[in-house]
Amino acid sequence: MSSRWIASRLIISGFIVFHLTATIVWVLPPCPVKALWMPRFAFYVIPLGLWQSWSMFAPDPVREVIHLESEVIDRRGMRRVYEFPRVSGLPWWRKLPRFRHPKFAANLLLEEFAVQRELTARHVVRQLGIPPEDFPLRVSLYYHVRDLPLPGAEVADPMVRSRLYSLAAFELEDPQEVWP
Amino acid sequence: MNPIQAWNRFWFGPISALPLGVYRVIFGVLVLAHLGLLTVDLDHWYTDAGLLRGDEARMAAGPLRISPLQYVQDPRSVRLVVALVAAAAVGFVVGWRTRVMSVLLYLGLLSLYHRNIATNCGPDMLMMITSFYLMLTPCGAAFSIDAWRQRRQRGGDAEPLIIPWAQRLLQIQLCLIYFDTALLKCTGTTWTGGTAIHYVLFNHEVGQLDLEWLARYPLLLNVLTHAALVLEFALAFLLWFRASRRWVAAAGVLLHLGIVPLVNVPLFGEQMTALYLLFFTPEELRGLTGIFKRWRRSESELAGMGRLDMASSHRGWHQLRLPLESLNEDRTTVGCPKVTRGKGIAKSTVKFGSSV
Repeated sequence: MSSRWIASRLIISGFIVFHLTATIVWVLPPCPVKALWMPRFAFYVIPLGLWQSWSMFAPDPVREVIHLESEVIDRRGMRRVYEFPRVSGLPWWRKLPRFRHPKFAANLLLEEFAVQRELTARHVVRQLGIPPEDFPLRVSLYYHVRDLPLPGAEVADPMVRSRLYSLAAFELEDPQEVWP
Repeated sequence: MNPIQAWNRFWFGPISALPLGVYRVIFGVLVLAHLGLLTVDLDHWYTDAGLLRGDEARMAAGPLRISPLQYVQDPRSVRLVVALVAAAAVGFVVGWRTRVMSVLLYLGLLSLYHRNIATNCGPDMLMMITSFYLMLTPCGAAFSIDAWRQRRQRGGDAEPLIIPWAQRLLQIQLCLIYFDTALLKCTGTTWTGGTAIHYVLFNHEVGQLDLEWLARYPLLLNVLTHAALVLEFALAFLLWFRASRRWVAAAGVLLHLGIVPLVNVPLFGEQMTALYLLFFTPEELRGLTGIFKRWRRSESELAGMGRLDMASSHRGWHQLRLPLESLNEDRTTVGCPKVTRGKGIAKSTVKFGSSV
């Protein structure tokens, strides 16, 4: 066996051990090992797009349906509401490519996407086309939350009322924040 | 067998390139489908005409996720990038300059991935990780224009072998996904309690078709919930063994087919089930295709199909730079086919697919 091939194997083996360690640390449930090592592997995993999480309906599927909405109140107290796209009423062929909308709404709940909340508030203002003279604005993001029927129920009760869950609120002083 | 020999056999023992070649073609087609789905809301998610504009995409992504699409984000440029990624995917599917195309494909997908992190989910994550691994594999060694050219240069109709370390990483990744999700599900109450699917049925934001009527059969839902959990554990382990591989793969296909009408996560099940192919030997693959009556080669054709490609003829495919001498030395330890030299072609008459 050539020394070059031995060296190649050693290098590849080192990479395999490193890569698998990083991957396994990343998918571990919360534990001290993960807390210690995850930040160290972040410099390898994140830039290369290798971060992963496979909690597909785990540990439990959500027991509520949520949809995201936003309320904007301008300096005169005028109130505008922006409803984010919903897919639940669409036929399957239109729903299929729009699976990112409910994912986006759910992801905003996660702390790792906290920055995105303010950016979403700015997007709402742009979508509503609020003119600069109406600033400053107060933008609230909130969810309509509706409980799903418990096991044993055969049909969903259409009269179930949804409740509001406040996600975040932002004061936008300067139009340049919104239209960079 | 000592641990070092076992390690070498598992990661570096040559195997057939055919399963990886088939998988490459399917994966490339799935990437094209993924890009097709992206185009529906492309401006909203990936351009400055949509959710994020100016430096917002960079703020959302953070310092470690870099993408040119955080700087160039007008709709026309982004569409051009998507078209270029699609072109790379076509090149990847047909196997034209496969290594270059695999790198371009990975970088293209990474650019899109980092531009829009807030909606990334299972299908995107899996595609990103898989494209990274495929970049490391010699996936153009079979079913590709590159392989066809090589074959024409050397003559013969033999089957190439590859060093499988990156393919093994792909296999382990698949098992890790099933194991991780099954393990996490065991920490909840609805999966072990048999009611998890009930909740999914009524969630029409993430659901695909209206299957609420299934709630009238709680026993069925209970069985399906437990079966899904058991199957995910089984898929994490039983794909490795020849005796159980076909059955557990078939059950896995059924699992993902069942998820399709239930949950709107396009291309996730397709990607997962396509990865099963990497566990199959060429003979098993042919057996599968025989089931569907598409094509079947006779046993006599199969018998003469072995070949080990010469290293020198695969410029750029570093994994194939394997001196024949080292292979001959290794074959006693790794169980690879007996190799004899021919005119530029080393032939093997032993059946391939020495997967574990």
